[in-house]
Amino acid sequence: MKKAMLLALVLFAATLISAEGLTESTDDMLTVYAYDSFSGDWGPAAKLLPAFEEETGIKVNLVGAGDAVEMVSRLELEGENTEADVILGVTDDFAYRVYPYLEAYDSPYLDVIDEELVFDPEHRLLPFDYGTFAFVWDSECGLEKPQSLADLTKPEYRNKIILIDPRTSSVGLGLLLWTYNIYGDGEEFEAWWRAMKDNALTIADGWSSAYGLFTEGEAPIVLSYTTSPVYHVMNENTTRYQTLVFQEGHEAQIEAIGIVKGTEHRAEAEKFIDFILSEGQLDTAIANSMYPVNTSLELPDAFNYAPQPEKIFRSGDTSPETVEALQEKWISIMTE
Amino acid sequence: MARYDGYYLRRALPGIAVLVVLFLIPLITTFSYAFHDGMRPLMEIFEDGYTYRLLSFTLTESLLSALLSVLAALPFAAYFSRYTFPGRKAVMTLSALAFTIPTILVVLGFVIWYGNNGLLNDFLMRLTGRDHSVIEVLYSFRAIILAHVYLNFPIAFLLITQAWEGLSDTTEHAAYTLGAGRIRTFFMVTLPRLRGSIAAAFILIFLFCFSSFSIILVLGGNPAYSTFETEIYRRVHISVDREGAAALSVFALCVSSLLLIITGPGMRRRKAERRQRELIKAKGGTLAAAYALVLLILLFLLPPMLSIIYRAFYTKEGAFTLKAWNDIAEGGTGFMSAASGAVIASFVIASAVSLLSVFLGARIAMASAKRGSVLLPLLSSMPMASGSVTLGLGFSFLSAMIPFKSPLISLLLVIAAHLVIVLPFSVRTITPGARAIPALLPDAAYTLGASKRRTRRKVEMPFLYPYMRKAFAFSFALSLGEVNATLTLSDGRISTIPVLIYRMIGSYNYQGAAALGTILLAEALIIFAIGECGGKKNGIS
Repeated sequence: MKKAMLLALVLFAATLISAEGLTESTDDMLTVYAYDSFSGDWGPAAKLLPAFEEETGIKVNLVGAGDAVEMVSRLELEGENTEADVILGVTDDFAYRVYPYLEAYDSPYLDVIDEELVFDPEHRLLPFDYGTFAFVWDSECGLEKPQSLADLTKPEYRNKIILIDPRTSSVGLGLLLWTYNIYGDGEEFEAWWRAMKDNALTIADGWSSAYGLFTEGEAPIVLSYTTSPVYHVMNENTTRYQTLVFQEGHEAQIEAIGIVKGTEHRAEAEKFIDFILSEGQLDTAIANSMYPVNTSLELPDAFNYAPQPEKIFRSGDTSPETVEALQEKWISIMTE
Repeated sequence: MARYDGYYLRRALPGIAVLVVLFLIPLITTFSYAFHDGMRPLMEIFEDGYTYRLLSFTLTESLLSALLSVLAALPFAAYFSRYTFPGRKAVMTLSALAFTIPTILVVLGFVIWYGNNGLLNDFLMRLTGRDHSVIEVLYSFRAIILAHVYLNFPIAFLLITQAWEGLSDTTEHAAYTLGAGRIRTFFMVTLPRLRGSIAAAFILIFLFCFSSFSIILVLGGNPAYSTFETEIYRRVHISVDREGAAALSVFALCVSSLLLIITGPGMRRRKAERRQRELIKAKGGTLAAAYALVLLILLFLLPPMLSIIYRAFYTKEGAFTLKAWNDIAEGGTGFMSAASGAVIASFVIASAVSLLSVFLGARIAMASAKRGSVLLPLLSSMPMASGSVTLGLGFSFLSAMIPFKSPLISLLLVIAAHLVIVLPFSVRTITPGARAIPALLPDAAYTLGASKRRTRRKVEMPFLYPYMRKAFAFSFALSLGEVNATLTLSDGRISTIPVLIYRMIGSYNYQGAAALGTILLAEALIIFAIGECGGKKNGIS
């Protein structure tokens, strides 16, 4: 036991020393809260931040604050004591929660953003990229290609669809709102979801497990994003997996950036937002598998396999009360 | 005895302090939301029919999973605690490996192996010449139970074997002499003496399954199969209804605490047990039977893990490829450095956490055994009973309370959070050992003039060592596979292997994730192997 404890102490001391070297003061830095996948080793940050710091001389303290919802919760919890100057990656459906903590910014780059995507007329949150939910399918599965949400209810797709639970995933919630935008909350909505009780192989807890089941060939249709086939084209050189684009429209989720109220780095924060809305656009979109809000930008060829739906519904347009009511309705339909 | 209580309680204080500061305070802050405007959120939960549907399903699946895991483990424990044969230790080491795999990979491993288009079906289809899947076990209630037993069988197997080994078989021999049959002896003599360990294993497994939800949703295939944890998660992450989430957590915690209190007395002190049983060398028929059991365990435990390793090298179409490994070596921004960094980070965190948890856990276990306390085991089990989502909520409070951040603080916070998560495990694992210390032995030592300290070190602690080693292995494995608290508390600054696995999957690279999973399993296996050898040498065993 003594040896073990000694080992523990040595290990502990070693980590203290090694970690201490990395510590530096963040007072003079621009603190940016971002969801974890932005700040991670593979996120857009790895490429963008060095470029920004070199160009402007502003040092950025990037804080990976969990997923988008956790980030919002964190800002709420910290309130005025927050060290954040900028918050990046708030989705339009949760925007109403962070508005009280933000100050408006009329960026000159608002002009290049597709008007339809600017969901906050007061410009407290500025959109920087957006994604659209879609079903992705295996074109070699031998089934007929579904053309609409209604097609998915056909008996031939029994146990062929992998869905995601709206109680535990924003993608799953996206489908719930999508069906609401198409069918309303009446009988058609109920009928569609009742059909899914037969046609869904399973309703996964999150996108990760759903898409994993799909790539393992458990079912040929999965709820995901319009951009999902890009990975298979770029890394597996196959066009077998394709996005199903429905004429009736797709649910979209818009990611936005904003300046936190009371920041002492207002000028730096503005520069950072301008950078994300200009030079940073393409890298951010590609790394996030999203579309840039600046629609005039030329996307890489692989995005040819990520068809952009012509008609979109903004998730943020559905009120939180409606979302809550829809979820309760969903639970009672699916568990009755 | 009572006069020495204070001594053991004082020794347990550091462990209790850790629990209070890192768990109880954030938890109470979280729970205070449930009592807003005159307990309205809590009343709503109590009046909602949905709560009781969740309760009934959650109890059904967790009781069934715990019961089946324990029942399945008994025959194996009987053999492994009686006979010794080559490979015995290796199998026991292997069985703790399943703990290191993050849930997402367990699900993936299950799908690769048991899936409708999985390897097992592929093999059976070729064997039977059918063109559709032969066994469809996934996406049903059975699948939930299968996965839970898969993950938890090792707990029951290791804990019961451990306790059984410590039982001398003289009492059984006496029973035989008095004419009792084997079955009667087992139920009347052996089983009552194993009760403490069986109860400990049962509760641990029950709590695990009580707060499980990914596996239940994905493999259950039906939203009707959902637990409290699903609903708490929804309220925290989707509806951002902090009051409702807190109220539901309070309700769930009450239910599981009630069970802990009911089963508490079941773990009462066993009678004095002076002699360990001697392991018999298995020969002939016994050896064959032992290997048959080994084969069964391996056939059950290995395929899902091997499936992950298989996927790291082979595509879905069955073609060999090293692409995933190349991705790890080159991907992103020199990902090899990130991967090796993560291997080290995982190792440092898991080592610190498991040593601390055994150190503190043994003290708490001793104190609660000496006092026959109900409160102490309850406090130390609460982090597990409150579920990962509630814990996560508590940790984000903790994170928000700390005004300054640095990599060092992040690291310490992650270690502390892991400690809170694994401490219940370590206390529950060690407690049966502490309770098995014959009360007369320390008394004899005191009479002979030994000090409290000397008695504890020379007389009492040796009883705990085997239990502590199991606790170490469990803690290490749990910490190695932990991902949520790491993400919440490290501000994305600390990348452990499971964190990288989730990032890989986030960028569609499931094969890369499988490769990282292989690295994780290899790291755990090496540590466990070293633990087994090292343990023997310096007497930790």
